[in-house]
Amino acid sequence: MKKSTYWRIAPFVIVGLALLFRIFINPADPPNAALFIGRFHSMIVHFPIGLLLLAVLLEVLARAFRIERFSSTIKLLLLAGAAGAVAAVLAGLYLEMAPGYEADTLFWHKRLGIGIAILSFIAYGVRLLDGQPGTTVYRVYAGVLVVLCSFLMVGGHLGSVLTHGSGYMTRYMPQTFRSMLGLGSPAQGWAVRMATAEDAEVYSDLVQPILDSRCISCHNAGQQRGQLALDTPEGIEKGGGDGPVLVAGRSSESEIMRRILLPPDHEGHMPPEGKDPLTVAEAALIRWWIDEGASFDQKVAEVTPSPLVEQIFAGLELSERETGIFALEIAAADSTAIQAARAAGMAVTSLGENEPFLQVRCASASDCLNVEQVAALGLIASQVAWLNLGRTEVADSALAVLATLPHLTRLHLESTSVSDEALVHLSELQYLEYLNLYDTSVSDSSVQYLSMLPSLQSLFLWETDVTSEGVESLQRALPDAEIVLGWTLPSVDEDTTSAP
Amino acid sequence: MDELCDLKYNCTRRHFLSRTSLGIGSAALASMLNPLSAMAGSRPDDPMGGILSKPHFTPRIRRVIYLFQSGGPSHLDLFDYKPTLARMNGEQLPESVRKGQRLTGMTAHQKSFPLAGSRFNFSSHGKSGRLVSELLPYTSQIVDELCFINSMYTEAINHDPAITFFQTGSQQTGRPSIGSWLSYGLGSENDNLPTFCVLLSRSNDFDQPLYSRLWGNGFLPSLHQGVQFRSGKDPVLYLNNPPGVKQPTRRRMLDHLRELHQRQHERVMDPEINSRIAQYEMAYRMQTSVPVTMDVSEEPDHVFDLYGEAARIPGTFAANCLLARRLAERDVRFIQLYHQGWDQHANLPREISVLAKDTDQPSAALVMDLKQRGLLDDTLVIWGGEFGRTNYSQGKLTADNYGRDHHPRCFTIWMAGGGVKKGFSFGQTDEFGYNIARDPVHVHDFQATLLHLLGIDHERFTFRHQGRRYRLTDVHGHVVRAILT
Repeated sequence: MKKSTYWRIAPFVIVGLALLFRIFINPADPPNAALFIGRFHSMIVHFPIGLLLLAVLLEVLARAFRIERFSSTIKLLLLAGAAGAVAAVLAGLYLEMAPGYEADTLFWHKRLGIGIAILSFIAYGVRLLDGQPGTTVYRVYAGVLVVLCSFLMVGGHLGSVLTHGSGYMTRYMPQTFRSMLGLGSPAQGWAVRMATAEDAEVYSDLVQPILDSRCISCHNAGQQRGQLALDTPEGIEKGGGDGPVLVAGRSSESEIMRRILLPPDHEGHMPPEGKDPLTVAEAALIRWWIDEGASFDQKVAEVTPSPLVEQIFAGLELSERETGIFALEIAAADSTAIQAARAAGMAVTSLGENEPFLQVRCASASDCLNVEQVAALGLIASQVAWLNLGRTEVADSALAVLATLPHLTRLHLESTSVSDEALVHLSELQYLEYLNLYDTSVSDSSVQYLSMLPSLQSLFLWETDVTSEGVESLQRALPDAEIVLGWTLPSVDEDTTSAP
Repeated sequence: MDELCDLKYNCTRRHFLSRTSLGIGSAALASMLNPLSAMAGSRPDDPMGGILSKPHFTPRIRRVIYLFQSGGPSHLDLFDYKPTLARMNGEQLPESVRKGQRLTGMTAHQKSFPLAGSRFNFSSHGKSGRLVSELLPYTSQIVDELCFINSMYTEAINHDPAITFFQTGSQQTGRPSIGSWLSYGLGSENDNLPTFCVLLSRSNDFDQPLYSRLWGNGFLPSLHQGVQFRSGKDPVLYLNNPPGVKQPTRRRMLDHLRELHQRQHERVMDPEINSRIAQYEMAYRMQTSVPVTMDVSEEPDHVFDLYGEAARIPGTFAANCLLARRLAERDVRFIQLYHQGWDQHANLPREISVLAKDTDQPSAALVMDLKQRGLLDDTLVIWGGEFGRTNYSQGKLTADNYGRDHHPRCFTIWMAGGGVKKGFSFGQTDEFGYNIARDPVHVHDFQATLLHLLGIDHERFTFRHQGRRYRLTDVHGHVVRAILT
C-alpha cells in the first residue's frame, strides 16, 4: 500500500477507535483517561469555531467584492474547521461523562455540536463544486452556511452556559442592558463576606444591602411608590401608605415579609412581576432581623442566629455542613480498584456524587472477607466509610483488615461470631461513629477496646454478654455515646382511656 | 399500524436520538453490548441496580417503613391538644376560622358546626414533654425517639385522591408511588426479595378500600411495582409451584421461557420484556426467601411481649409490624404498611379507641425493636394518614359522642429514625386545630424531605415520559431542613 493511502485511512481509524473506546465506557463511572481526553474539548472547541466563522466571513467578503482568490483559502478553512469540529465532538463525548453538567443544556449543546461537524463537512463538499450565484448548488451552499453560523452561535453560547453558568455574560452587564433583557440586579456575595467580620451590623451590613439591591429602586426618598421609602431607617419606621411596613419582633405580622413571601405571580408580591423574587437566603435574613427586633444598630455578634441564618453565614448558603471524615480531602478511589472489589464479591457503592467515600458489604453471607476481598479492600482502604459485615459468617482472623480502614464511620458486625479479641483491630478507628455488635458473644472484656473509640455515638450491645456494669464503665469513658442494651415497653392496663 | 412494529420503531428512534447521535452502527453496537442498561433502566453491572449509580449526596437512611394509617386519624384526639375546643365545646365554629373553606359533601349541608373538644385526656411525656393522648399509652413512652410534624397539610379532601397524593405526588392516578421511585432510583440491596413490599391490615370490615395502584409503578418499568405480602398460606400469590411441579421442572421451564422471551425481545425490543424476565427470576428466588421471611415461629416470646400478643395472629397490624422489621433486617428498601379503619365520621370516641389499641403498641414496639437492633439509625419509620379530621362534630354532638369529617388543612404525623431530630415537634396549628399557625409542611415538602434523607435531590430525580420529565414532587416541594439533624 502506498504511504499516502495510510494517511487517508488514518483519520478514520482514529475516529473509529475513539468511538469504540467511548462505547465501552460505563458513563456512570468513567475512568480518568476518559475525562483526561474529555477536558481537551474546551481547548479544541475554539479552533473550529474560529476557522468556520472565518471561512464564512471570507465567503461574504469574496461575494461582496468578487474576490476570486479567496476560494482555495475558504476550502482549506472549511476542511480544517470540519476536522476540528469532529475532534471537538469526540472530546465532548468524553467530557459529558463528567458529573455536574445541566442535562437540558447539554442535550442541545451536544446535538448542535454534532450538527456543526456534519454541516461543516457538507459545506466543504458543496464548496468543492464551486457553484456560481443563481445555481442550486450556490443556494444550497449559502443555506448551509447560514444554518452552520446559527448553530455555531447557539451551540457556542450553550457551551459557555455549561462551563460558566447561565448568568456569566449578564453578571457585570450595565443595568440598562440587563433591564432590556428583563433581568434584575445581580445578587451579591455579601452575606458570606459580612458574616466573617466580628463587628458586622445586622441592619447596615446584612439587611440594607438587600433592600438597596432589591427594593429602593422604587422605594426611595425621590420615588416613593406606595408612599414608601426604604432607603433610610426613618423611612422604614414610617411605613407606607397602607401603614407600617414591619412589626418589630414579629415577622409573621410584618407587611414586608407578607409581600416577599406571597406567590411570585400574586399582584401584591414584592418585588413586582418581572423582577426576581428574593432568594431564600435574603428572605431568611430579613425575617431574622425583624424577629430579633428590627434594630438598626445591633451587631451580628449580639444576636442569636437561627439555624438557617447560621448556614447562610457559614458561606454554604443552604447546603450541608461538613464534619468528620467529610471535612477531609480524600482522593476518589480508582475505578479499577472498585471493579476489583466488586469482582471479588463485594457490593461497593458511592456515598454521593461529590464524595470519595464508599459503602461496602459482602454479597454472600457465607463467604465474607475472603483473601481476595481483603486484598481488594486494601486498594480502597482510605475510601471505605461504611462497612456492613452483619449477619455473615465472617471469620475473626479476617477482621484484622479493619485496622487498615482509617475512615470507617459505620461498622455492622451484628449476628456474627466476632470475639472480644477481634475488637482490638478497631481501636485505631478514630472516626468510627456507629458500631453494631447486637447478637454477638462479645463480653465485658471488649470494653477496654471500645472505650478507645473517640467518635463513637451509637453502640449496640443487646443480646451480647456485656453486663450492665460493663456498660457503666464504658459510658464513663464515652459520655456522649448512646449505648443500647435493649428495651422493653412497660405494658399498659387494658383500659386507660377515660372515654367510653 | 401493527402495534409491535410501532414499538420497534419507537425504540430505534429513541436509541438513535438519545443514545448515540452518531449513526445506526454505533446505536446497534451499544444496544448489543448492554441491552439492559440501554433499555430497561436497570444496570446489571451495578450491584444496587438503581438508575442513580451514586446518590446525589450522602444518604442518612437506607430504607423506609411507612406505617400508613388509612382513613385519616383524628389529630385532635391523638396528638394535637386543643384546650380551646374543650372550653368552647358545643359552640359554633367561628367563620373567622373557617373562612369559607370547602367542606366535604358529608357535612357541607350541616346547619350547625358545633366545636367538639376531644373526650380524651392529654398528658406530657418523656424529656421532650410532648403532649400525647391517653389513647396512645405505648407511643407516649417513646416520644423522645419521635419527630412530630404538627403542621402537615394536603390538597385533597377525600380518601383516594389524598392517599394517591401522598404516595405518588399527584391526586390523579397513574404516577409511580414512592416505593417504585426508590426501587427505580436506588435499586435493591437484596436480590432475593422485592425492593418494595406492601402489607395490609384493617380494624373493621367496612372501611374505605385500598387499590393495588397505590403501590403501582406508573410509567416506570414494571419490575419496580410494590409486591403485596398477604397473610395466610400464600403470602405472595401465584408464587408456589402448582401441585405436581417440582423445583427442577420449574427451573427448566423458566430457562426455556427466558429463551423465548429473549427471542421476542430481539424482534420487538420492548423493554418490558426484560422487566418480565427479571420478575420471573425474582419470583423463583422468592419461592425460597419469602417463606423464610414470613415464618415468625422462630421469634422468641419476648418479641411477642414487645409487639403484643396480636402479633401472633397473621394479618394484624402487629403481625405486619413484626414482618416489617424482618423485611428491614433483610435490607428491603421500602416497606409499606397500610392499616385501614381511621375514618370516624360518627361514634368517634368508641371507634378510635379500637383503632388506637390495634396500632399503638405495635408501632411503638417496631421503633424500639429497630433501635435495639441498630437498624433505626439507617431506617425511617413514618406514621400518619392522608389527612386530619374536623374540629367540629359531624352529626349530633352529645355529651359522650361525636364524629369528625375529613380535614385536609392540618394534621399530625410522626417519623423516627436516621437523619431526623428526636423528641422534636415541628409546626403549630391554631388554637382551634383548624388552620396552621406556623411552619406548614405540604405533602410535596414531606416527599422532598424523604428523598433528601435517602440522598436524593428531588428536583434532579426525574423520569422522561410522554415528552416531559416527571418527578415525585411534581414541580413543588421544599426539604424541611428544620427537622433534620
